[in-house]
Amino acid sequence: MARPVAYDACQTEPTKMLKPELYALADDGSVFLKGSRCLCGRTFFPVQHYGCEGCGRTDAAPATLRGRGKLAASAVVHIHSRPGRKAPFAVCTVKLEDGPVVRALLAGSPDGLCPGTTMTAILTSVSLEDGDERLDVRFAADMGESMRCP
Amino acid sequence: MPMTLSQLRPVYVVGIGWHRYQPQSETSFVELGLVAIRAALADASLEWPAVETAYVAHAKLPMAAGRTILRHLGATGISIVHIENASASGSAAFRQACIEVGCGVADVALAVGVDKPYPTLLAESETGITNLAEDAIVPFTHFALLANQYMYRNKVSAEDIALVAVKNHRNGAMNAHAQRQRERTLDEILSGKKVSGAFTALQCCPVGEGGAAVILASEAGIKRFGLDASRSIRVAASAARSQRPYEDDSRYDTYLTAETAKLALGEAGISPSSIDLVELHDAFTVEELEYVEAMRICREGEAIHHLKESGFDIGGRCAINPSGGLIAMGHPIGPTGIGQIAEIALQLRGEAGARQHRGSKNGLAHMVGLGAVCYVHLLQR
Repeated sequence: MARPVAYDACQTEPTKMLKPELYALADDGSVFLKGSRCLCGRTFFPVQHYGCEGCGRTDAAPATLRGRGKLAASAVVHIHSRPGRKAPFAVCTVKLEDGPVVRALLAGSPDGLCPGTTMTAILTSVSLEDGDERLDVRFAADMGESMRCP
Repeated sequence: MPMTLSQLRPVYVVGIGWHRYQPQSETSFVELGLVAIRAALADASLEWPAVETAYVAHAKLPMAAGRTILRHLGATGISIVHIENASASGSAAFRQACIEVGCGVADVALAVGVDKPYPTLLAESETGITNLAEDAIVPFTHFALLANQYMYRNKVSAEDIALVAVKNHRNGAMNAHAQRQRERTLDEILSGKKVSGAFTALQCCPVGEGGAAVILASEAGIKRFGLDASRSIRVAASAARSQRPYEDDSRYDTYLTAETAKLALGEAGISPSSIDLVELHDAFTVEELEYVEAMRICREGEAIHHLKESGFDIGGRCAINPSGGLIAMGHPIGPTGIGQIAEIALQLRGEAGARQHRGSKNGLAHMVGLGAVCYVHLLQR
């Protein structure tokens, strides 16, 4: 079972991130996503150096994207055939405050969450097949932000 | 200035054929392809040696499948090209065959789609670029998220969206080539196995196996081989686009459809209100709603209203997916886009039997494919 982890626990073991190329912890303990900002003005996530989708340049600069945004959509997945993940689980689309739209796993159930809810990236402990534990990103509704959909 | 298909020599669909779409079976892909091609040749009253060039669409067959099928028609030594373009492989093969005939390199061409659901790697998983939840968001969940957005944006329910499946299963029940040939009630659809978000199994297309073939000819080809011009259907426009950055990158299928449909309609010089029937990529129910709005068949947010008023039924204002669509007809991948063209040609000839949408003059075929890519073709009687 995935469970939220206190920030200080992960700060002591930064190598325990499941996908360290995608996210990290800021000094204030919040989770940020590692994106890129191109000279053409396009901000994108995740980082890639093959070339910017907006203009083709290959020299986009690293950009720290705050792990905050508005919920655009959510869904519970009931069938999943790929190994390493057991259904049901929930996923979401989030429009980040810093621009890009990302799709991620949702912490908990989407029941009662409606589009427009402010979402924050948190780190959650996940068990790997070999029994090892890693920290991975989930998006969760801000406390007090969860509201009934009309 | 570059030219459009409509500015080249006129191109006509002169023969159509299918091998029924079906769940994976022991049937060889060779048999699937040959049944469809021989049906198309018979439909055109044409002998195989008349065909000068062949485009073979598939996404899941192993490399170099084409000649392993075509040699059994009598190996005439013609050009064979394989086309893989994900779900739109068949549409891409059709377009390339049209262009070859249109520009005068060939007078008679074959576009055939054949596939069996062999395990296939997707290129995106091999790029070296990871993402937050790429393993968790497979195509049905991509569209389940879009369905959630659609429902919220347009204040419609999961029951409303499922009405697309009711209509398409009803149409498929009248189609001998469809994988699913059974009418379903709304209750049956909603109470089925849950897949993702609002989708149940009967709101998702089955990916099985099958074959579809069309023969294309120029006016010179029709004359030379004495084909029946009254059953020939003109390809009035062909447009192809791929995804570019959009304001909301998660809705790329819709934006891509909008710009590709606009190009095709502009090429043919007709308005969306002149379209009598549409075969579109309804791999999942919500797509039909998104795309009819993107094509301007109806206004944004009004697709459910038209669906409830029977406007998208056979006999309605504009028949959407009279074949049963991907949801009932099935989506064997390679054949799908070519099967759409064949259905529209059948309808425009007035030969669709129980499924006939009467008085049809303009038909639109639409596919999107992973990548994403998009094709829109217009056929005219």
